[in-house]
Amino acid sequence: MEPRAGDSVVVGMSGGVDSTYAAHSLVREGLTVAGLTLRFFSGMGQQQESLDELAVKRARHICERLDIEHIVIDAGELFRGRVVDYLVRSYGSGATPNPCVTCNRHIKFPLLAEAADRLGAGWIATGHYARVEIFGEKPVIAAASDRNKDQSYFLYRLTPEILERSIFPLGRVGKDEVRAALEDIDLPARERESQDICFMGEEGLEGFLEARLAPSPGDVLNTRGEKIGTHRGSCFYTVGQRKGLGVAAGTPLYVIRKDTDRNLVFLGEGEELLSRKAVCRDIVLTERLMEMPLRGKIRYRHGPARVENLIISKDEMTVIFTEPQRAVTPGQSLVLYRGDLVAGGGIITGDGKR
Amino acid sequence: MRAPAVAITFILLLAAVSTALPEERVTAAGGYVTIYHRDRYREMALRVADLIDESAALMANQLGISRIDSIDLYIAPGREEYNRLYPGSIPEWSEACSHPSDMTICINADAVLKSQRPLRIVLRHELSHILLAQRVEGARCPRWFMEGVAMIQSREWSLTDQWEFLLAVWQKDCPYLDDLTGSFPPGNRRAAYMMSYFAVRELLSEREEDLMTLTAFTRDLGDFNRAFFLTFGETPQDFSARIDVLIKDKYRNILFLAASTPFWSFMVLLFLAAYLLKRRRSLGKLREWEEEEKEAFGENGIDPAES
Repeated sequence: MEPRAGDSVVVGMSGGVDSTYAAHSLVREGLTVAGLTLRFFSGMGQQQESLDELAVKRARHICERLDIEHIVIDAGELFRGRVVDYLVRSYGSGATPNPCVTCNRHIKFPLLAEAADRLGAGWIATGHYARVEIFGEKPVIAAASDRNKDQSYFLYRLTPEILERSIFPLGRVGKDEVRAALEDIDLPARERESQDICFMGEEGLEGFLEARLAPSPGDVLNTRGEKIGTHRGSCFYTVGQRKGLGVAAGTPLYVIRKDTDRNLVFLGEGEELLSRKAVCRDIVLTERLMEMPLRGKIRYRHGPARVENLIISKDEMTVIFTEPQRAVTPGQSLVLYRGDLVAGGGIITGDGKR
Repeated sequence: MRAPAVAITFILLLAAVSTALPEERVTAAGGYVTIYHRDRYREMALRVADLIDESAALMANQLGISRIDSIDLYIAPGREEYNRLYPGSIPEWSEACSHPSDMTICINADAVLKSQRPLRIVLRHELSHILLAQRVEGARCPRWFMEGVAMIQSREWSLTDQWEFLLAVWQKDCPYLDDLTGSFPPGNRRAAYMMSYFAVRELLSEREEDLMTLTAFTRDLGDFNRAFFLTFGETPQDFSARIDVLIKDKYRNILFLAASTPFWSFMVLLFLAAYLLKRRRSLGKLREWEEEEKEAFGENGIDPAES
């Protein structure tokens, strides 16, 4: 079903360019729009709370300009419980998580839907670059027409119930069109865009994890098990990382794997990062789309690679790629695509080597 | 009234086909193609069987088909029998044709023997149409897509084609892709085929396996346009517009440049410079040899062994 003029929609507004365009385009199409800003960071310290303040202030200003209702909901507790704790736990266990995937699944979209229900609105919308398409009479997430901006990777865990009422106005437009449209109506189009991890303040990820995980230094080993250096805490390192390792060697070295139980970081040469396999847990699959050929994306900035085979057991999925992939990183999501449609995905637990 | 009429038509058609059926048959390995032919075309039939064995599985695989449905292939000796098999539905000049609805291919032996197109290409082209139809389970696809896929699968593109395509673009004879969904324009058929090839090649340039996805979606949804959008994130109409721009950007400017006076003046100067450089080097080399000879054989330059 397509939204029609007169329908009501609640738009997630962060005060950024993309959500502003989403709200503006829906107003232009004749929908009754309300803007919702979530306070994600309440109770997380002054610096993070000021990010919330800024978002609320900008979103309110935009809603006033668009002459639409603006609602603010405090999602701090939920966010800390579902996203921040998950992030800290994942880093603590040696993984590199995608907090955005978790936030979209458990916070952003459910709260938008709740707000929409309270307001009697049938639709929810965000400024994500993605599309919803109907396939087999059910909605599925699809890649945005602008492949460079596509954010379908972050949305693969959304449920069909959420998808069937979701609108992504940026799914079929490019960034330039967004900016041009907003400049035409003199809406602020050069403001903040989404960051990798939205709640990191000046302390950065390292400071954030240091305060919560109390990491201790340990040994850096080569793949033969020989000590070649000392690290500051294994949680600060990610599989595939090359910079900031503090180890001098004749050839470039990368983090190949981590052993959090023994607080060890293993370094090796680039070739050792290659793997054709990715093992995933927490899998979500759209049965009607599970037909080869599929492509898999092992991180957001990764050209989807052709899948040769899938082995699916009850709660685990092993994806075998046609070509070896670089740095299959535990904690990242592996998202499967059939054409432009998202067929499913899961959280990577390893590359099946060890 | 309608049912008897259909039945009578069917019986008449069947009769027409069966009277045209040659008496011998050869079954291609793999068991899915039955070749019907006359005795004197046995050699061709065996060649056709070999070509099918060589190509069909790979072509089917490119389309995502794991088991090929049975296909009947007729080798008609000449135009008369060829036209009798499918009256009115095939151009007289064609070397072969395919009828996906009843999984048949017909080869005009006489035309194939006289043609410059190798039998391999002719056969693969028709086989591609049949396999595509099997894959999409009869769903309607635009003509440009069917022909483009067939040309890619039959590897039917040469430097001459490339040159002809360039000229067609330059002379603005190249049809607009979205106008090629049905029959090709009779006066511009060649350019239409080339355009189809170019478009499908461009479509699959990044992700070859999208051919399987697009055809599977077409099969599942019964709607090529919708399947196209779900596979590539753009409509066939948007794609046509994009191809048009791409062709203009890619070729028209090159040809415009190639047609301009400054370009040819520059080329002439370049050739002249290259010629002078080569001549200078040759003279230098000649002088070098003379010096060497003088050193070796004295001032008169005569080799004592030869004198």
